[in-house]
Amino acid sequence: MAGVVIDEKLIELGLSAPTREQAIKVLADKLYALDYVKDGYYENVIKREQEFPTGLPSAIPVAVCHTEAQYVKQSALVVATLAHPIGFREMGTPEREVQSEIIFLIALKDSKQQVPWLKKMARVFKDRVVLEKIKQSTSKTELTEYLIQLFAPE
Amino acid sequence: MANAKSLTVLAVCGSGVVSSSMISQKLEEILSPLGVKVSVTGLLPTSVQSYVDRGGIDFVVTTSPIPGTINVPVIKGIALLTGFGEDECIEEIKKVAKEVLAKKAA
Repeated sequence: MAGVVIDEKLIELGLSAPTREQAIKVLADKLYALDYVKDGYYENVIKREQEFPTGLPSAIPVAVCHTEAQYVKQSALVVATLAHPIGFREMGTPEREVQSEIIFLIALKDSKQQVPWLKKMARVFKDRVVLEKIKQSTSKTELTEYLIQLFAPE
Repeated sequence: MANAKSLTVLAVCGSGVVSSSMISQKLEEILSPLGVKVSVTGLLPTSVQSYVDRGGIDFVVTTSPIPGTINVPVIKGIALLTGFGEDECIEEIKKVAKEVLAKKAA
């Protein structure tokens, strides 16, 4: 598949995890289960989060975890809403922490090809209504459909 | 520079692609109404200094701290992703773009 997969199997609602590492592990495991990523993917996401934090103080704080393309077999988007906010260090200002309420784990195989997709992603963070709708989701199926709509090619 | 109305900008983020792609689209949106053609290259923070030192870069927009001494304007671009302080960030980009273009025309 050339595009970015959005699938019920890649959604987690009301995830309860004590640390960001544990939260990311749960999400990365979904990608391993579908064979979308290679060995070392999870470790690399964690390493990159330490070097280049991805917490964003958006309308509803989020984290946009990602990694290098070399660890990805199939581009996909994993989305988790959190039972309790989890602290992520802030992008660009690592000494600050944001209490993220949604995690987007972005696995991109060829990021350059996904630029139009990333532009759509950028719009999501700024839109409180969209973030609120994601956060309030109670059905994986409905959230999946909603996300597919959001990222549909124009 | 051959074209006084064109700018070459570096968009910098930890991956060199993900948030820099998001920023590059915003730069086009901000600068094309001013009649400015902008060429954006995505880059990792550690590559910025040597890239800028080679010349030809007008300014830098970044979501990550950049090591070293960068001798062109560096603008923090996180606001373009979050929407908070975005207007101020857009104004700063326009201001820097105008200053750079004025200097080129002089």
